[in-house]
Amino acid sequence: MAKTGYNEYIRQETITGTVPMVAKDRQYSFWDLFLTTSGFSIATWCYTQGAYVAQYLSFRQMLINIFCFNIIWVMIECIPVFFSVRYGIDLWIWLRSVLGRKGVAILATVISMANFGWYAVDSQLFASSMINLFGAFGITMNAAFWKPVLGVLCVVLGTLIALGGPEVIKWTNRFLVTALLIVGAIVVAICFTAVPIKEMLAVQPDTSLYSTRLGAFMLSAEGNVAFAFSWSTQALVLPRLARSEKSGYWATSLAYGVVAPFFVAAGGVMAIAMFVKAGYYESDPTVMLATLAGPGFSLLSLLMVAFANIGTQGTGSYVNCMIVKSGLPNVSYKLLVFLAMIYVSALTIWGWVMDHFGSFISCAAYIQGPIIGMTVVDYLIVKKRKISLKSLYQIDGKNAYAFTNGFNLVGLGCILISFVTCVVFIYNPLTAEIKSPIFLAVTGSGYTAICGGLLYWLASLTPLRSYMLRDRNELDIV
Amino acid sequence: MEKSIEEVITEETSLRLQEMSVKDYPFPEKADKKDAAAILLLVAGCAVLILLCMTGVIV
Repeated sequence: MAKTGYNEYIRQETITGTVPMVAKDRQYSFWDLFLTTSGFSIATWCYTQGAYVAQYLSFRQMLINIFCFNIIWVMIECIPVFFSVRYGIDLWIWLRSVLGRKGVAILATVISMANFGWYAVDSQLFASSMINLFGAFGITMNAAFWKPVLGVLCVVLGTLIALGGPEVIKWTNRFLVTALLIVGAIVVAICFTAVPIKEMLAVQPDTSLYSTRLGAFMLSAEGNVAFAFSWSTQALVLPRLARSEKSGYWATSLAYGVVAPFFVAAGGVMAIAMFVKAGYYESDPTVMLATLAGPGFSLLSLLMVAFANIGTQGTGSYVNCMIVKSGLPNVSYKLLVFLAMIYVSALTIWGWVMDHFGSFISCAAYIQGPIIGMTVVDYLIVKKRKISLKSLYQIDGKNAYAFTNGFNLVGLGCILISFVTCVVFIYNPLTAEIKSPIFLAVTGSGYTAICGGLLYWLASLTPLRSYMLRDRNELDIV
Repeated sequence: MEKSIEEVITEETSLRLQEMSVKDYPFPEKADKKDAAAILLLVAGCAVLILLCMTGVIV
């Protein structure tokens, strides 16, 4: 490999690969990271989520449900960001010590495949909003033809951003998020101007979802906990670029825990305002704005839907391809981005994920939940913030995380037990059936995180500890 | 003979880990107790609001 080509390759592998970041690579300030992560987290699915919760809860309970469940779980799942910033590595590299190298390769691919489902939803919402926007101005578009075409266009434009890498993503989001936050504030103001807050507070929630208020509150919470969990496996990719642990943690947790929920809440407020004004709940911001403030204002949805969704596609493609790369480091980043484009385009045209949105986010959260629980317990209690970096990369003959043919059976067992017990005994997301009062205390997704963490900690108190912690005499970089 | 991708990555990673293991390597500024306290306060505050909703105090 020629010298220039070699240096460029290393640069690419650092930014878009698995090589650890060192001091000179850290390029993101608090604001860079906060705006980039916020740009990633804001998409039309926020409004879908908000409109869903708005139907079943009172106005006050809706706001508490959206913000509090998201803040709690995001604050907890982001704790390992400290570690990621310090050593410049992604969560999935560290998870080699919890799941084994082959365990990571399989789960990283499975979870990324699931995560890409969100981007299919994103592009479908983009397409339907664009069709509605043209409709508001009297231009009728044939949905059967234009929906897949516009959806794929959103994916392709996002792919171009992803190919530009973090510098392009940073500048795209700097402009985008500032504009989106302003638009979000304008939208909430429009809602409160169009409909008096007194009337919004008087709206009675729909009790058909569950007979008790607690049941409705926790079923809505299930959606918000799953929403919070959806960031977890992607949350440690960007903080590697942060200049300090403090800025890495707060920029990440405030973006996922406050900015994204703010847009969910904006969707909820819009849905309630629509109910008061038009008699039905609506999740498409284009339709809501046209009804509440006139067709001219629906142009604001160009920012809310078009730019937001394309920005999310770009950042999401970068982040998820990075996750796959942590398990399959030899595959080129560009190839992964192109494969992701084809995969998400196919999901967009197929439409299954959008049609089964609630089940989809809970099922994905049931795999992410135990990983969150184990990660936090492993970082704070079991490994006590110390890891063998050389074993993670199998350097100098260090191989403490080989486990059983590349699989950590304890970690994988914890995921399997948490997943199965939740579906069988706590809450089945495919049938929306609550099977235990435990659900009413912690939700199904919350249970998987608590169960995963608890099992992993209990295992570390048994003779399995020596299997889990083979690295204690190799902790050279601390 | 040209190096494989895996060899290039391993070699570069090794160099970087060596760089990190130097005594005066500039690790990023650490988080402190104020951060821990802020996280605990936020989580506790949210938990209280959730409990008030669950028990029907906030409807």
